[in-house]
Amino acid sequence: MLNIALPKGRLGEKVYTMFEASGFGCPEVLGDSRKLVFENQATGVRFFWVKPSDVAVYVERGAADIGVAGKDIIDEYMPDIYEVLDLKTGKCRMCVAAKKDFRDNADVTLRVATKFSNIARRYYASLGREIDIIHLNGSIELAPVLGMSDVIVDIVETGTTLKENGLEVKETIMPISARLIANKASYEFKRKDVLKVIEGLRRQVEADK
Amino acid sequence: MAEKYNLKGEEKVLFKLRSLYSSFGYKTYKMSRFEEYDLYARNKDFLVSSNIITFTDTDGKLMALKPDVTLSIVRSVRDQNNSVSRICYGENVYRVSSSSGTFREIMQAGLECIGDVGLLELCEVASLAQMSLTSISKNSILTISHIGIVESLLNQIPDILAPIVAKALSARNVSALGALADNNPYYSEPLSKIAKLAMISGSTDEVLSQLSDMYVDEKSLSELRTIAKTLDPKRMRIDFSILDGMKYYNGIVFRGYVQGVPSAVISGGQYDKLMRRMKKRSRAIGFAVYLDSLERLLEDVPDYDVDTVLKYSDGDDINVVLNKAQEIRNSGKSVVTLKEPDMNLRYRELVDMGGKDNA
Repeated sequence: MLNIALPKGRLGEKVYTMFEASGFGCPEVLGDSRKLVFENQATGVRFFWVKPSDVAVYVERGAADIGVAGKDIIDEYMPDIYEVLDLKTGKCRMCVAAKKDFRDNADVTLRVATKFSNIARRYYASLGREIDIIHLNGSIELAPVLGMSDVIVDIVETGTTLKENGLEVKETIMPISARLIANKASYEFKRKDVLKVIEGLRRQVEADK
Repeated sequence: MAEKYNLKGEEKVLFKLRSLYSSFGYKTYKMSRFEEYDLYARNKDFLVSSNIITFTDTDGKLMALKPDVTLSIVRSVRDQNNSVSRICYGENVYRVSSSSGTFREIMQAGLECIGDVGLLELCEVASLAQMSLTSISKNSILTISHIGIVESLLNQIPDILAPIVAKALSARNVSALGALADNNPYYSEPLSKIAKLAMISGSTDEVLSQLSDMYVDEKSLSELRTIAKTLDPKRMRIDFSILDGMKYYNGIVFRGYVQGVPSAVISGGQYDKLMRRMKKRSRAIGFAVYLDSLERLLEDVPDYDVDTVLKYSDGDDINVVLNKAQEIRNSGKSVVTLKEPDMNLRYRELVDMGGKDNA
């Protein structure tokens, strides 16, 4: 049985249809039930829905053999896993954004509000810039509006939220998309099944091109 | 024999490993728990984590609680020609746990083979790693790579790309490697070879023949081939994603997995580069077994806490109670004397000094 952790929400549902199209479906996964675990004996898969930022934890600790996580989560938590396939869906960008009239004064410590402390720290370290990280768990856009931070480091999909709050993208740190990740031990012990899923999804990704 | 002493799972494994290693002539090496901090400060990249517990010794020297055993062994072994030191250990090391962020005491076993190390010693240590895994679990896999093969390809691409490529290879990130090859047409040959290394799979023979067709570093490939042939093919795989510690490892590197543990339980390889850094001429190979990660796997919860509860009351003659307990003990059972058994205590039988025996 192959255990698969999917991120709750729109992305997870979209990715699930890719699993289904590659022959690893499981009835009622997309239903309205409150169940957390769905099993299909015939295809040998067991799906479960978890909080998107937790997928990497389930996979790293082997509770899930494979899972789907955004590149943002992988780079933020740096789990010890294999990142076996770019699913080319859930695309967005990790960006530095600030108020439209913001002018960077390199003479003072830059105050950065973000949910992605490690990504922000690494990015500014690569530029040799001293920063003050303000870790927030949501509504990041509020920080520069209230003057608590100079910039934010956050995921930008369409930019609508930024625009509505008078912010704009100043820098793109990296592109983001959903990735298929695999536990290192499962990759060895369930290799046949894992490779079958990777191959099936790879065909889906190519077909969507 | 280990069962008789009521040992914990990790202790049983340690016991088995010790006798395995000593059957190959490895001598146990008992070390002090402390080491001068300087040793680790100079070789920080070799350590899993750079956080170290330090304290000041009576003479003002900065000391550290050992985060690693290999460095101490390497330092203490003298260079020698035509001879090999075979050393094994079972020690506690002190490291920061990546999940909790606090220090933990971790039981580690392992061995080091240092000196005039040739192909035979490399084969021997690799198969000892495989045997160590087998002694832990019936279902195990040793994954093995050769740094020489990967490095010869990484040397063909610019320094600025190398770390990105290495990171992608270690994550088996074929998509990223493909994109790198597309975006750097000038280096597409080494980059597409590296992408192939990330995807390579199949039986050892298949992988080795695929590698021959790829024209990778010939000397390293022939070494890998010889070593791979001495291992049990059913319990091994060639895997080029093993890349951490490239500054220290130069030849074969390996990781060991057992079913039921989500991360590698064995890690090791040939580390001549570390020897040079520590101003030693010898060659060396070794590995560590992370016994702490086996805690859950080997956990066998006994059905009973104790065989017999001997129930007594204040009025009973102490000598009679003690003698009765010893009598039961002599018959090979464990006994605890209690006035009233604890509700959570699981026992096979209750013997009441009042004379009534209850099952």
